[in-house]
Amino acid sequence: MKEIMAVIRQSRVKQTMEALVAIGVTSVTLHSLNGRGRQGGNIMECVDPLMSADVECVSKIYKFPTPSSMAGASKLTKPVFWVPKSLLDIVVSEVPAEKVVEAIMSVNRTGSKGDGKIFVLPIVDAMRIRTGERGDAAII
Amino acid sequence: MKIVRAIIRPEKEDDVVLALEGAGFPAMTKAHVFGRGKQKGLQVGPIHYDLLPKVLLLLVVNDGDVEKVMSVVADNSKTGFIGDGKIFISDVEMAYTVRTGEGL
Repeated sequence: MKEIMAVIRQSRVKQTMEALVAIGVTSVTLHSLNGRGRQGGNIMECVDPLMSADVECVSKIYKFPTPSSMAGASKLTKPVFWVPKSLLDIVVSEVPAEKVVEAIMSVNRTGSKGDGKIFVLPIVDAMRIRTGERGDAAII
Repeated sequence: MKIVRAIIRPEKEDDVVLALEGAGFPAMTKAHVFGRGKQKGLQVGPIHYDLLPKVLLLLVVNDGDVEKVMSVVADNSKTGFIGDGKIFISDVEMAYTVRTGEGL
C-alpha cells in the first residue's frame, strides 16, 4: 500500500480527477491549503510588481533572497507569502504508485514554477470502518 | 527523505516560517486545522473548548536535515504551556517535481 500526496494547482483539480478515474483510481481526499516552494512564495506577482528582481538581501538571518527578506527592503508589513494550492491524498494498493504519479504529472505539467510536488509514502495498515476489513481489502 | 508534520500555535506561525526560511527551508505547505491533545481541549470557567485552532506545517526534507528542522520549529513555537503542539516524522519513498518530472 502506498499513499500519494500531490500538491497541485487549484485550477487543475478537475482535470486531475478525470485522469485518475481513467486509470482506475476513484477514491481521493482533497484538501485546500496554502503552500510555498523553493522561491518562498511568488515574489514578482504577489509582493510588489514594481520591485526590481535584484534587491539586495538586507536581513542577516536570511541566506537566500526570498519574499520575506525582500519585504523588509521594500517596507512591506506582511512578511510571509503563501500560494493557494490543492493537496490530493490518494491511497492505492492494486494500481501501481508510479502509474498514478505519471497520470498526475501529465495533467499538471505546465513547465512554469508552481506546478507542485508529488510525494510517495508507505502505508503500514488500513481499515474500512463500515465493515472492519483490514489491509489491502480495505482499499479495493 | 522524511516528511515533517508540525502542529503549532497559529500565533507562532510567522515566527516558525521565517525561522525555517532563514535556516534554508523555504518550501512548505500550511493548513489551518483544529485539534485537541491530552487535556481534551480547554476549560475556561464554565465554558469548554473541545477543538482548538492550530496550524499544520508540512515539510519534506532530507534525512540529515530532520533534526535541524525539528529544533528550529521547537525553538520558535515553544511557550512552555500546554498546547504548544507536536511534531511527527514519517518516511517518504519518492518525491517528484511536477514541472520537470524528475524524482528527487
